[in-house]
Amino acid sequence: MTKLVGFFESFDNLDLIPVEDIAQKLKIRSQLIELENFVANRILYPQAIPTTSIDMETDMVILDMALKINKGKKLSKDFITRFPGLKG
Amino acid sequence: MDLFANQKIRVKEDVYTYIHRSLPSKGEIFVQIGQEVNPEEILGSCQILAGYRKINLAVSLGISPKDVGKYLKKSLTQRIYKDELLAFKPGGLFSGKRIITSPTDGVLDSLDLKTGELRLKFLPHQINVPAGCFGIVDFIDSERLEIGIRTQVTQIFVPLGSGKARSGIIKIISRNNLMDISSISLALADHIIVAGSLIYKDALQAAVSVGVSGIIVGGINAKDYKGMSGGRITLPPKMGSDIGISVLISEGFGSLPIGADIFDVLKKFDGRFAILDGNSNVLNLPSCESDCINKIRKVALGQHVMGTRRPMEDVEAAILKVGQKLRIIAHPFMGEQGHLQSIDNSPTRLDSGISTYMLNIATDFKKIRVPYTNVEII
Repeated sequence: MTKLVGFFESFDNLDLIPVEDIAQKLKIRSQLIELENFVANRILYPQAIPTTSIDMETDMVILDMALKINKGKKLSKDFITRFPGLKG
Repeated sequence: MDLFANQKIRVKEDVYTYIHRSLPSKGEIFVQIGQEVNPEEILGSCQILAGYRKINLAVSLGISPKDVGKYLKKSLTQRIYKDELLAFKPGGLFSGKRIITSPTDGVLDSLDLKTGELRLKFLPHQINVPAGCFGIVDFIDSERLEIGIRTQVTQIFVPLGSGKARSGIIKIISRNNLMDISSISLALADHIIVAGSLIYKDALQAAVSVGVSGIIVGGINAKDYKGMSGGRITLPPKMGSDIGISVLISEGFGSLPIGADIFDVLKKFDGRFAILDGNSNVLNLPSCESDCINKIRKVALGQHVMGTRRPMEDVEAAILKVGQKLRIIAHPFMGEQGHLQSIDNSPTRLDSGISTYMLNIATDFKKIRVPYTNVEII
């Protein structure tokens, strides 16, 4: 089956990123519970794109953390196609 | 230019499937393969010999836990029968009177004055398992005490769930309220409750204590979902989970009202029998029309499949077309539903810096603009 995907679908462990670490890297602080729900919704609907600059910043921090916790693991072909500058 | 969005089936009407009914302990099955059954027909019977139920009387009476003993109408170790008065608090200046009856036959086993919880030990009692639907018995597993009935149902599929298949009577409480511990009462025992936009952890625990069979809710906090699904959010889940109650989450994480498409179906089945399978993310609502048996007779289901396919796998990209019903899957309009009115001819640059095509969607109350990637076709 063909379906729309997003780059977060390339990671199967986004839920393991400590939400406190994400909060520390954001310019605008939000409640941890809201941030945790935000990450969980990105797992549930990875195809969705951020509409605001705050959501974009949050997505970028999540992506940064995801790359860190998956360092050394082979990145998916989809992900490499989206971000050709990155290597596994 | 064609734009694509994921299409997900959330409601399927007039589906012919097997529903599985089982005896909770060793007992006798009364029906035979090929037998036609109606909802009230008893499929089997068994004796429950042991077990406990916890009832938080402090919450139910709206009092401090240390005062629970004053309002208890039976003393510890005394026997009590189903629907007999268990606790009573007269009305005051600012509160109405509260009457708590026993949900089951039992013995008052212990009372925790720190939490206000009463532990009720079950007396041995007989349980009759009704069919709950019109249908035909197609298989009987006498070792697992399970009966498979071919029947006609409406199915509701949701993105998240937890818990084994449990049955009960649908009870609508709310579509968009927050469900906290004060909303849980003994009267909800053995029901599948439609609980609103968010359920808190303490309300979930209270629901398990009073014996609620299942909960349908729009959203849940990620932390609470992890707590009931083995500590992880993996989609689809690698294995089933069960915390003593079955839960379906129709929209996602956070406070989100149950989608209108699902809530409209639930309203039709309010007060009727249903089977909620949290681990398969599906609610089966058997048809209440007696003439459905004529159609069921004509249907052959092939094989005796135990379990249901996971709906998370039933996602496929489809071309967006004007008039389609859409559900928004990201903030700021997450969970809202409406019809696609038009698609922009040129991309719009969002505050996030992304350039994308926008959809113009009419909901029941307003018109909104949403990136095409942030919707699902339903």
